[in-house]
Amino acid sequence: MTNRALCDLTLSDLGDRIRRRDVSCVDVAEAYLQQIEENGKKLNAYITLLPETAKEQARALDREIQSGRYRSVMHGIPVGLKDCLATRGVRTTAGSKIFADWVPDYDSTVASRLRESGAVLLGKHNMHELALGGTNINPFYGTARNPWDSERIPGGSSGGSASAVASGLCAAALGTDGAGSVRMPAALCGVVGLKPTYGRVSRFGVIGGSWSSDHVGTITRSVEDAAILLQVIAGVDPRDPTSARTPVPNYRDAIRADVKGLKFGVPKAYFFDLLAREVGDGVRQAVSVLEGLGMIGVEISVPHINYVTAAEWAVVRPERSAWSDEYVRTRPQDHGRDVLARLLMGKLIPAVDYLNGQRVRCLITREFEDALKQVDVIVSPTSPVAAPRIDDCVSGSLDVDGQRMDLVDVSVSLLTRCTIPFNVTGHPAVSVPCGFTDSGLPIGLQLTGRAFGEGDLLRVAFAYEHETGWFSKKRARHR
Amino acid sequence: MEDEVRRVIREAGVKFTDEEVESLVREITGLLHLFRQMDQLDLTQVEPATKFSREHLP
Repeated sequence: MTNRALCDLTLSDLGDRIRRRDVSCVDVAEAYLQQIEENGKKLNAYITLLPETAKEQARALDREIQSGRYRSVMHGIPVGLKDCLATRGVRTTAGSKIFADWVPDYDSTVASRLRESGAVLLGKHNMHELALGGTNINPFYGTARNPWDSERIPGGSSGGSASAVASGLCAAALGTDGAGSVRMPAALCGVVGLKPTYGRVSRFGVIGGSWSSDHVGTITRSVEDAAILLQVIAGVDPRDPTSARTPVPNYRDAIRADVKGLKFGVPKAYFFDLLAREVGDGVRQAVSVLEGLGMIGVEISVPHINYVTAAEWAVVRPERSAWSDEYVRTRPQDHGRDVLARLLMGKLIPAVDYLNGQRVRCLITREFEDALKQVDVIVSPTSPVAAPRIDDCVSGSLDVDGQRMDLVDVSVSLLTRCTIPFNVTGHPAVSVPCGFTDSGLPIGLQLTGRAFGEGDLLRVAFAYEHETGWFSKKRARHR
Repeated sequence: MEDEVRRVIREAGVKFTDEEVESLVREITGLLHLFRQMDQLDLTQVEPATKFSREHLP
């Protein structure tokens, strides 16, 4: 098997081959490092690469296998982490100049759990500065690019992670999602992005972000890989007071059950109001596929959904400004202009608006809870548009079916419009590929489940993925 | 609002061009206008969602 073919495998396939000793951990690590050497520069998916420590780690893991110790299906799997997840002994920049030389003396909980599982850390992924934006145009570490068209953004803020997974520069990645930062880039890069329930995965060691909206999530090539990775990182953590004690089921087993007779809800309003034609077509075809699988589709109503962007920004902007306050006061010049502007604006939001945002959040959460009593999952687009051109993001507007759309207008929040609702409510949501535009760009389908219902959610996503086979379509090659 | 924006910029000790200040004023005005939508809602029986995580902690 060629190195390229090895790097095309899903995490689960690769894990099986390592367990059977068809390939060694060192072979796999070297294959990925070669891919990064050949293709990594153009995509700019990594901020920090760890070739020597990755090989050293792989050698140690091979020795363990030889001595009869096999840790888990993650044993020897090369992964990358968004650079806002603290890693002991490895520079963690959060995409910011402020942390350019910061080497944490501790691991984020998810990094620690990945290490324990036997994963090999290839490096830290590029991201939007301080996770405060969705384009991944980063003034300090350069723009991460979309592997399907390098003149386009990979989305963000976990854009480097999505780009790397899609182009075979790592087998899987972890990102963070405060407004859609795992799901939206996954949709734009044609991979699977899972944001678990708020509290399912510890946020300890996440740098920046918003306390009440941020989640750690997975970016993988298949739904089964998402289930495997979630299994590793899920569970209560005493270092994160918002992490939940709810038991963690076996996700890999859960995804294989039949979906016949399950119900899916299609929201009447908001999600389909503003949508590129090709994205709408892709999602409507996905609805037909779900019906073909024996699922029952119904319309659902979330009466106050149109207030969701107001609630999100009323909460997230002040939380992020509060987190960054010391850095804005002491090192304002070390921020990018767009990020500094956003952080300063957060200071101008009245506390009353913050608290009313939290009240509206409560109202909308209850309404989604009611909807999810009638249906098992909710179906929507992930991003209303396919990956925009970098030029359009710089100019701040985008042509959508002949109409100029503002990419900056917060009341529209174009790229994160469909993902924001589930940061507000905390429900688990996954983006799976559901086709391509005429110009060959991936489209994402968002499925949302009940709180702590990741097993059922991934079960529907897995059935859909296998019925359509999008995940086995031609792997991303940067043009 | 422009005075408020200029105050926050001054306190941060950074320099913004007039064009950047204008853009900031536009964006914060847009945000605050967006938040005014929430004033239309009857929230008398709704407490802030800080209890969200407690709801899900057995």
